Amino acid sequence: MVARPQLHPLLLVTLLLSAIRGSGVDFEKEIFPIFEARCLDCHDTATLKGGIGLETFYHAHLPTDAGEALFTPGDVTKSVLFHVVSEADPEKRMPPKGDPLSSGEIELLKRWIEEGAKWPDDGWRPPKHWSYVTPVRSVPPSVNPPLLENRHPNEIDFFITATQQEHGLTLNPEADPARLLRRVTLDLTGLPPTIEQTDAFLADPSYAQYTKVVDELLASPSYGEKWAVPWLDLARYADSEGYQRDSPRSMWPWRDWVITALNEDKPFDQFSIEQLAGDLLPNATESQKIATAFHRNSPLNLEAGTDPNEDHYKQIVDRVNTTGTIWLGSTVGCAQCHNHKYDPISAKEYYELFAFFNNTPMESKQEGMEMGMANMVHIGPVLEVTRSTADIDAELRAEAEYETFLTGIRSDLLEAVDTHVKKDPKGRESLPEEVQKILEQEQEMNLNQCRTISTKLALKNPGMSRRFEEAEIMENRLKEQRKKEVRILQEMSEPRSTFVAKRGDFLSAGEKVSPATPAALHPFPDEFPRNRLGLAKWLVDPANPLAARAYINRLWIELFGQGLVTTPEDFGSQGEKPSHPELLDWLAVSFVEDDHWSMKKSLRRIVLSATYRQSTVVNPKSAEVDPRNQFLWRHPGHRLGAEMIRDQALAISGLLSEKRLGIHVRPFQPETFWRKSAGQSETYYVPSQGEDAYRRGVYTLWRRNAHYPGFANFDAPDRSACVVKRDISNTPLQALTLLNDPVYVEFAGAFGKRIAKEGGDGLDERLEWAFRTALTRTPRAPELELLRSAFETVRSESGSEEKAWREMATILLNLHETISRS
Amino acid sequence: MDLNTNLNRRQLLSRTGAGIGSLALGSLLQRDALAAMPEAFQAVAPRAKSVIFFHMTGAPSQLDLFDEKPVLRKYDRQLAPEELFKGKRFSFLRGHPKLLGSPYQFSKHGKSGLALSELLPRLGGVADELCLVKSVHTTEFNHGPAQLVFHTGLNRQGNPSIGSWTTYGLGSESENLPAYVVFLTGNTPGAGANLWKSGFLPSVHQGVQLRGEGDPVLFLNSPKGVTSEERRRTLDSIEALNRQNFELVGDPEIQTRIEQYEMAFRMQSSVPDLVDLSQESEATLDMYGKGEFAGQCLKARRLVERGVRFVELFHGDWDTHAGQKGRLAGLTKEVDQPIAALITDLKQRGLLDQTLVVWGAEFGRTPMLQGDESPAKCGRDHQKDAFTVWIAGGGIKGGTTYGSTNELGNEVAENPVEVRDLHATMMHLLGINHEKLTYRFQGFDQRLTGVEEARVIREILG
Repeated sequence: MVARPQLHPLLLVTLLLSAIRGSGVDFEKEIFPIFEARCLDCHDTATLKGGIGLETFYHAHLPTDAGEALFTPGDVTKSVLFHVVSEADPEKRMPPKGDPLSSGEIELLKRWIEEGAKWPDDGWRPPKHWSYVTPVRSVPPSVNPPLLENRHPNEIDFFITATQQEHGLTLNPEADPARLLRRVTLDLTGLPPTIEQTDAFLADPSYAQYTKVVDELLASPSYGEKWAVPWLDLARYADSEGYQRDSPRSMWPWRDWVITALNEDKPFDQFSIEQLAGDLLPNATESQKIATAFHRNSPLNLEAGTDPNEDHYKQIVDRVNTTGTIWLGSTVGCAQCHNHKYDPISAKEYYELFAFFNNTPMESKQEGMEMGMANMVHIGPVLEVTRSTADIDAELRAEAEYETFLTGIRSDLLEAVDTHVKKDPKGRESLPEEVQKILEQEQEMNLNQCRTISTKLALKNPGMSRRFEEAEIMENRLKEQRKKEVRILQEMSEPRSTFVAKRGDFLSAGEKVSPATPAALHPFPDEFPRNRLGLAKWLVDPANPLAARAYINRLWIELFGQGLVTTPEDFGSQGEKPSHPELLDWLAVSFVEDDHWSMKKSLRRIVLSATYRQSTVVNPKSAEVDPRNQFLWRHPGHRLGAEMIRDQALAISGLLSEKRLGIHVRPFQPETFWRKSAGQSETYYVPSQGEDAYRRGVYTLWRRNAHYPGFANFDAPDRSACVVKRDISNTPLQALTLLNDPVYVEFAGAFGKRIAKEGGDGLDERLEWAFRTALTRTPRAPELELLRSAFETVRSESGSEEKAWREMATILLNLHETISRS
Repeated sequence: MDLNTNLNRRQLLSRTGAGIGSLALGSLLQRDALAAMPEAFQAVAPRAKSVIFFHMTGAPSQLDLFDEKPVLRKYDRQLAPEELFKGKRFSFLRGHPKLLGSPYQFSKHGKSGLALSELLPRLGGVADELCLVKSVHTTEFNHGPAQLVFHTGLNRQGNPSIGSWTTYGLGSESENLPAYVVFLTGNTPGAGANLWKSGFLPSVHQGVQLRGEGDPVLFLNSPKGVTSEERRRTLDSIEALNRQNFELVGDPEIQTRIEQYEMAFRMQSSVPDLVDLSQESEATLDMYGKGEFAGQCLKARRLVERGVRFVELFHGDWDTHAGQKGRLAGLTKEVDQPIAALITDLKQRGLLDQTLVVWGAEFGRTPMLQGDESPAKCGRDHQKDAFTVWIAGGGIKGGTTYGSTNELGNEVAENPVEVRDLHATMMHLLGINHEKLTYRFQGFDQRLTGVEEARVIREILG
């Protein structure tokens, strides 16, 4: 071996550097000008066509939308940039317009890549967006004292009035006590106050008394029933699978879990952890396991011939996106197919989040392949839940209902059999032996036996086949009640590998990834396990600036109709900036630090504010300055939600059932509305009997492809995907629903009877009682006058007092004020 | 024809939360939904002002109706070449499937000589109005997701349907009827009401189903025993109280509520009037023929006549995995005459050139045979890679074909058309630039055609 002269290390470096500077391609002078002249029209930082940016070091080093590297130092074969400029096909070549790059330019690019694609870091990074910055609690601004004098303000009002002052606006005066009581009662419990509650408050409408009322309402079990609804929308909770089959699924024990957790005021961090990863908590309780049904609410495609792997992928996507929306206020879903265009989340980071969720068992499989069937069945983990006494009571009632129904079938059937054999002297003995045997059981015959007889004897009994089907539906429902089940999450012992799905196509596996959280967000603490539990803890870590802000914003939406951030699903750079950033942060920090994530405490603070308590009256001057009421110079008094409208009408008419929790109920709906689908056990919609027809809306069966029409017309989503904010529309279909839906017609009839019975003596007294029952406040003279004359007209024309009271009930249930917060 | 008259006002109104009829502009106070303004997305002069969209739920066999394949017939019941199935995913086909040639004869029709299957004799009579797009392909091979793509551009639930986008963009010209009306015959499509839902758009843009049984619009009819006069009186009382409230509170939503109750009242007479086919001449009724679907086709004409923007008719179930022969003949018999009659009728009334008629399904069917080989029992599986959609009416070059498939019909041979291209083209004919009709949701300007490029198929425009 020939000894080579040793070079001093420093000298070596100098030589190398000179080689680069001397003979190497100069990026600034030779390469970037090519980009500037030929590429930046489409690939500058503002456009980023195809996810390709050539203006900054940062963008140039991100993978493209297709998940490929723009250039690989030293390897032109793995450099998209080189391939597209040297492409022979003019359709595919870059740049798409003008002449191709000259051979000299292409050669330069090639050499530059071969020499290591040196690109000095210009230091550009996406600016840190407001929502990624940790919120701080600023001192509430001081405001001109007279503005809030005698208003019992809290910190919220200082922020609100300070902003108003900047725009020359002021808070409206406080709403009158009756309206305020109605508003807060509806907002906290979803039900209107009773006349007794109203009288009590009107006797002492002081702020202290108001506070007391608020506390009572928060402690009422109705609170959880009201506040579960927005959470069920977020969680896309439904009682059916969705997609083509849309068959029933048993998830209601989870719905009860939510209502109970809210009533217990389970802190939001714990509430979140249990739902995302309750199964992974040490010695997980049954309740904590039920909580994980949250992410089993994803729609499941059981259409025959579905690829279970593909559907599994879609469900995980749904879980990642829903999680992102709720706890990060973020549209991470945009990064499913490509790097997020606007927010600092790359496609790779999306799949790193995906990896946290990808360790749960498959949800479905194909069956009957050998017969060419490819039917899909659910195989995901299911928990059998301990039944409560209420569950058992409900089952017994359902059993009795079923027995009554079956008895009816049996009697009619036996009668039909007797008619059938009437002409035969041998009577029943003329029948086939099998039939005779069954008939011996008389009132003990089960459904199948009844069916057998009907078929064997070809009995002509109109409506019987339908009754058989209805009985079968009731039987299935009973089975569901006897075995209380819920789908849950479970971690597999052998983790599933996760790969980047290129362009969102689950079949094109890219790089393998492991669970991690996006680099631009708060760090993932080392002590957290890298599984769903760790992720859940990370999401509600006080260091996460987004979870509390997003939560507070959703709370604000429920109470004021719009958020402090008007794009509640997106706190990212493309979302709207908050109208009151300091207030949002003040509330978010208070929620975490003072309230320790107590949802009731944060809600209480807002409804105690003077901002919440002000009237809805439109002041034309303010309306001119701020037509959208962004600065809350009035309470917006927006329309009630779908369930609230029905619940309120039930309460007003005196029909509302006090029963809580349990299996879903089926209030009456037009027969033609139900939709049967292949393999679906429920051919008909069989309405619930007795008080189950009058339960609160939160318990109504939620079938994704045919959700309760009275709710759908009032903007209740079908819950196929996470919904942060319901629309608040105002349509003719709503008028038709309140006027003509047989359910509302029934409510009006019941309310009419109730007025006559409970409303006291004399026309005016009853009218006033009816008005106060519906609207809480006392009618003004012209209102009373109008009702009186409407009443008299109907009574004199029809000669029926009952009809006249029903007319009053219909009018009152249809008023804009009745279906709004006033 | 000037379709732009009054467009701005209508569009403005369409976003106030009502979309139908003339509403108080005051409602704007409450809304955030005012993303796009009309001038921002009007592309060109509109060629059509209404759409009639036929969806044959379950997916008809293009190979037996529109896309004749002599080679396939030649190799009928022989093993399929490997490239037809190797590495591809199907719903049901497994192993080595055989080919299935069409048992139906095709013949040329009209001046254009467009070839159609013997199963569509009446449609042949209007062949010169049709443009067959034979090269459509989609990304999904299961009904639910594919139907969603065909209607919303997305394979999951949650995005608005094309009908919702249309009324969001153009509002309605009818004061008395919903802007977007849906009819169903046969099974409800797999993806259900999501196919006419408004997704993230304001919910006023969702389709309203006109039903055959019970109330034509849910809750349309007053309760039994309530006369129209009584109803009017009740509404007058409601209005008077709402108005008193409005005068005190000044909330424009109250004004809108009053208008909506009036609209509801008008619908109580306009909808029964619409569905009352006794007003039609015998000749017209005969032309459409009998049956539920025929009635719906006729109602579709009556709807566009009344200014309704988007009418969709679902007809099913075309999912002929087995027993295709008898089923296909039965299904085509149900639709052939009424659809041909609709086109003829629209033309006779001078409505065809302002109405876009689109006929299609979520995907097509395979050249491979599925199930039992016997002619009566065999069927075809789902095919996403190539199928036929036809378009007629406003702005379309009739009697033409666009795109083609390969010899066996399993893949597009030339001029591939993505579903989003079809959407872009429909929007274009309505005068909408599909890239500019946007709605801000989840941080960016969402559009029907999504983030990937979509192309207006200019070659088929008249």
